[in-house]
Amino acid sequence: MTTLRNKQKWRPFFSGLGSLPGLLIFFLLILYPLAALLLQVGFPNVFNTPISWKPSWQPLQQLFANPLNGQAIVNSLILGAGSAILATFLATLVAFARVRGGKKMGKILDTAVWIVFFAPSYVIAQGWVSLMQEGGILSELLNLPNGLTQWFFSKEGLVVVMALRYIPFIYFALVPSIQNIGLEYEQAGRLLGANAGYRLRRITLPLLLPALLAGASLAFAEGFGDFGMAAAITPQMHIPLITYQIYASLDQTPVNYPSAASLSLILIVIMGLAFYLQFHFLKTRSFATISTHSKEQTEIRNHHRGFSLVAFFILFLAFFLPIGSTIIQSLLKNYVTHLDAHSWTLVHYKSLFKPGGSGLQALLRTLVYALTNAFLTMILGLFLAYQMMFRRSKINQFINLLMIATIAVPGIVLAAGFIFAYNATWLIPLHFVIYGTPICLGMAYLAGSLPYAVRLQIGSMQQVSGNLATAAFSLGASNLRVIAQIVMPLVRTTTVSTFFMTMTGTMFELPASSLLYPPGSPPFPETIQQKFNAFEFARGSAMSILGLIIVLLLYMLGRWVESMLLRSSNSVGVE
Amino acid sequence: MNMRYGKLLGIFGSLLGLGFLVSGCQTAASTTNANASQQQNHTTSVSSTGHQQLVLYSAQGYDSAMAQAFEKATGIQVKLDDNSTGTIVAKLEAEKSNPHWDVAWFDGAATMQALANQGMLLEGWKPSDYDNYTSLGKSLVPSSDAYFPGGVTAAAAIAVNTKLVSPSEYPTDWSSLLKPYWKNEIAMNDPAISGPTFPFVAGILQLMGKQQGEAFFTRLKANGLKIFPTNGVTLQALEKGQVKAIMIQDSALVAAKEKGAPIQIIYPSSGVFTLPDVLGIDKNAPDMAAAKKFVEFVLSHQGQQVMLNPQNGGGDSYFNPIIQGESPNPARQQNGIHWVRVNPVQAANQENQIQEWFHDNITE
Repeated sequence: MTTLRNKQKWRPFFSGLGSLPGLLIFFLLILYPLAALLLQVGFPNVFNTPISWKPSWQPLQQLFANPLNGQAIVNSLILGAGSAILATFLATLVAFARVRGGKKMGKILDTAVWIVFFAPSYVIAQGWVSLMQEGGILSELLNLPNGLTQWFFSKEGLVVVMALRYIPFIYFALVPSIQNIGLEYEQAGRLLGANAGYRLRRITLPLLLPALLAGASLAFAEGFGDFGMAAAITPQMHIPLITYQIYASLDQTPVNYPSAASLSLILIVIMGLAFYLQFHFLKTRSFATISTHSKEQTEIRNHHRGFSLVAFFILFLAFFLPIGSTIIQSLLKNYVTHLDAHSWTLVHYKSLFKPGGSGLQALLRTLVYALTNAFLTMILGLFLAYQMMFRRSKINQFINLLMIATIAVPGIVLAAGFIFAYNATWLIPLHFVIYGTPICLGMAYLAGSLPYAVRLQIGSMQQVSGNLATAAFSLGASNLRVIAQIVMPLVRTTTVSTFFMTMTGTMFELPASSLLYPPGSPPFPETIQQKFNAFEFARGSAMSILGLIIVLLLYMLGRWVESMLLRSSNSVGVE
Repeated sequence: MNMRYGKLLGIFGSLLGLGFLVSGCQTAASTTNANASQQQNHTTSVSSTGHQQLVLYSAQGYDSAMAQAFEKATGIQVKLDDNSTGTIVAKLEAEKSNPHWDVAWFDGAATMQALANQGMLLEGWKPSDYDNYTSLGKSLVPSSDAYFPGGVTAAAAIAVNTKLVSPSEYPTDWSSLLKPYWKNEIAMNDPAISGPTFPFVAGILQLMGKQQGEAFFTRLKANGLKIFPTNGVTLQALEKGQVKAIMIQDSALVAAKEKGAPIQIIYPSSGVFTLPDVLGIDKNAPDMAAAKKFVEFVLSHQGQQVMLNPQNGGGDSYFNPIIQGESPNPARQQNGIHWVRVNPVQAANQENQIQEWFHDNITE
């Protein structure tokens, strides 16, 4: 009894210390680089030569003087919200098909959704464009006259394509929640005479709300801040989007950092607001689906064929169309004007495997970055989410909100922030100018992936009722022990997801790769982009497909390892 | 079992994090040391370490081959950052207070001029092989000597699809495209997105005068001009018969023709606009000597031969040489091109205003 009391006395002290690593990570990876960029909203010459701390309203004035920016913000809000809503609807269908459809179906759907997720935005976008553009692959295959596919290059077309792209975010958050809904809730409903529709509306869906919102908010953030899609599709339709405005002020001459910073500030404020509202809403009620006496949902026998068919159709649209078109593109000879038996070649793949070739070197380099980053993101994401959920303090909540708002910060903005932050002259005497080194690029990768990991982990931890952890703590369990025995088993799926999500993300991450790579050592996504820049679409497509295959193989390996771990832990008899 | 797993995970994680930070500091320290000493006293750092290093930011297709050739010729190690022009300029601007680069190389004198206007480039130095420039070449060197052209292309020429257009209908000048024959059958790139297109628009405004030039684009739009983002898309539209004629950078047209596209390239009689690839040296170049040597290498016969080989540079190799004694790739038209030099100072100063006008009146 005395030991227990002692432990309780020391706990506030340790938990105060506990937020320190989180704070440090957050500061180095996100706050400092972002601040270095956003500082220029008010102090446009702070990184100029000579450095000037003179404040100025000019960047904000210019921002509001350009009517395009206002239109861009409205368009982006519409696109983000539209695609998040549609994606939530589609993903819910697929997720239910997954949980209710038996083991085999589950495996197939999981893999299919993962593949959708693997594919980087710009590859998917490029695939859609070459499929749908006038005289594109679809018109060639179906012999369509000019003008029939033009509807695609519109706001509505973009909403559909983006929604299909964001299904995985919601799906990943949703599936574990559906699986974890304690059967007792539904049984109680059934006992009280509620029919299936009523149970779905009043019991199942409300319990899924945290997961749905977590997924949908990620989808909204993606849609609001997506560059891959915006960069590939919007130039063809001339609709201003906020991401494109930012991209234009950074990547098209004349470069204007203060303007990019101002636009980014607006992006962050809107996203922060959206997430704040979401948290506020969630705080008002409990959404724990796992109580201290849950029964696991046993497999339900009555398979819904309709569900499965719909799910397959959705994934076909989301994946096979754009990726199929990328595969076709990668097998085409240069300058083919129409498809026939003589249009095909494997030369683009063969050239990738030339020994000592630059593509292969870049691929190996990126594999190292991707594995390191995936590992760090997985560990740190778990750690930070745990801190925020079970070690509540004002600092942790503040970090949480800011970190999640940074999900909306486009990669290119954060990457630019890294240049200013880690190439700053005040770091020279400290010997800490890490810009231009692999460490700096690695940190930028981590900064990009960590907020996602934290967000997804919090979503899955929100299901653990606080009682469970409190009970464990009051029984004297250590932090590590609570993590290992209560939290870990519940968030294992999300943890594995985080690993592969991050790995894929890094394999194809473009903005940080191109702005921060150490000269002379280009990573894989950069070499793909160089091919696309040089209009070698076939070569670029072949490289993308190769990258996808590698990630897929690693994913399958990961699933195998996970099932091995699961088996060994079950055999020891831990619940 | 689970607990041990968790504990191990925790320990491993913190070790990894620690290692990550430590290695970060070490690498950072060594790089910064090198940087700082190079910047403070370049010559001593070079003689003490014994080898030089060139950091090259480039958007040119042949840059990788040039880096290798330069390494072989001089023994100076090249660290290449190969990116699009936009990304390179974004990096140069962000690094302004603590630059890491020695030489920047991309298409577009106006863009380079904008960097010179900010005082970022070395001025008042001439390469030793300067006198080998042709007169066209010399005309492209600014009076401040802030940057040097390595070759020149036409920012735009006209190309027609030979399967759809009979020779009697071929246009002869820009204004030919205003004829009803071309209604809804012409395309060009968006100057806000495609680098080579801005000098084309600026060139038209300079050649015809602002009012006449704007009227030309407005009439083209009334004649159904289509705007695609970049060369690749616009070329595809021509090859697939969506349009019958396009106006894009001539080197990209030559490259497409060489690969078998059914097109005929026409140089309009009133003139085409110079789009040189330009090299600028960082005023605070960490390795100034290597930077100067590299510019001289680009202007040398050896360097030009590497650049002119399409195996090395793809489409970028079909440029027009401006060094005496060098001849272009045979696929390229040799004579009858009327070059109009686009004033880079003027173009740089008016870029915002021209881009905005074009976007509001033509692209939208």
